[in-house]
Amino acid sequence: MTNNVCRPRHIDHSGQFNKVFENLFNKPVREFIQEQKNHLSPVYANIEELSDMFIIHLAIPGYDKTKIGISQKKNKLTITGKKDADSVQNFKIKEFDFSSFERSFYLPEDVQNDKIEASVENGILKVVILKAEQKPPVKVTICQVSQHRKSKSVFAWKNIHQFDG
Amino acid sequence: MDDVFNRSISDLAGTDYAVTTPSVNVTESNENYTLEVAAPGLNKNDFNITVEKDQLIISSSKETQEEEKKENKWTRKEFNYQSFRRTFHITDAVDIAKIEASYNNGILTLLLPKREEAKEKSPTTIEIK
Repeated sequence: MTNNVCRPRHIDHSGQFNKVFENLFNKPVREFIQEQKNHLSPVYANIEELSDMFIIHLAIPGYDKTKIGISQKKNKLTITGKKDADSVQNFKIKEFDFSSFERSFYLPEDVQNDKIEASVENGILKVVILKAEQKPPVKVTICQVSQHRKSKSVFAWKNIHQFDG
Repeated sequence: MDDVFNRSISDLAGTDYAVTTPSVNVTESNENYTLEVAAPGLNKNDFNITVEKDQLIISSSKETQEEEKKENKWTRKEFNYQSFRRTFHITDAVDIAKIEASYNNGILTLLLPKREEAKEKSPTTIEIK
């Protein structure tokens, strides 16, 4: 297993928003701002990297797919969810309360922004982001330096030394 | 009452930070108790629900071998509900034989009906003759 799956997060609790400053290394899909409107229920994300795509898995239990919005502005992907507040008030135990959330991610530059697909299954929102097709590396051929150029470069070198002297 | 020690299972995911225990809401009405477990990403067959004496045990143990075979890399792992166990104390008021469970949109819902004698009866008014 990789060691870099989750690094300690540096969370600033003083502000209204939890601004999460990430260690940028080994994080191709970076988190931009984590805005938790409801502090009782943070919306957790797993991010998976395959050779040709990134997949964001967002845990959104209890949400219908019609209540989920995904918007993209340049390389910032924002996922929002809205749900009506529970009508039942008589809670014996209350550990989660998903009413509304918003979470944003920074996408790396080498992705196909127009080919982002999302699906919801068993309370997991899956956002598939395809990586851009990698261009074949440009092959640089090394050719013999012609005699003409060689003499010219030697001449230039001499000139510099004359100037120095 | 929850099994705190299950957290070591998150070592499988290579992180100590991922949430492995699902959150639970319990509400009470006159007819029943409702227990909701927010455990997205599982199938209904992954859950085991047992009642032992006065303890209700909800657990999951999804095989993770399949995922480990894949050569993909988790760049972030905040949750993993594939293996957990939570235990609740249930009172005599619950009719154990009539407990129902359903899994929808990542939430496991248990309906625990109360016994007839435990239901709050509306006060009877006695007329004065």
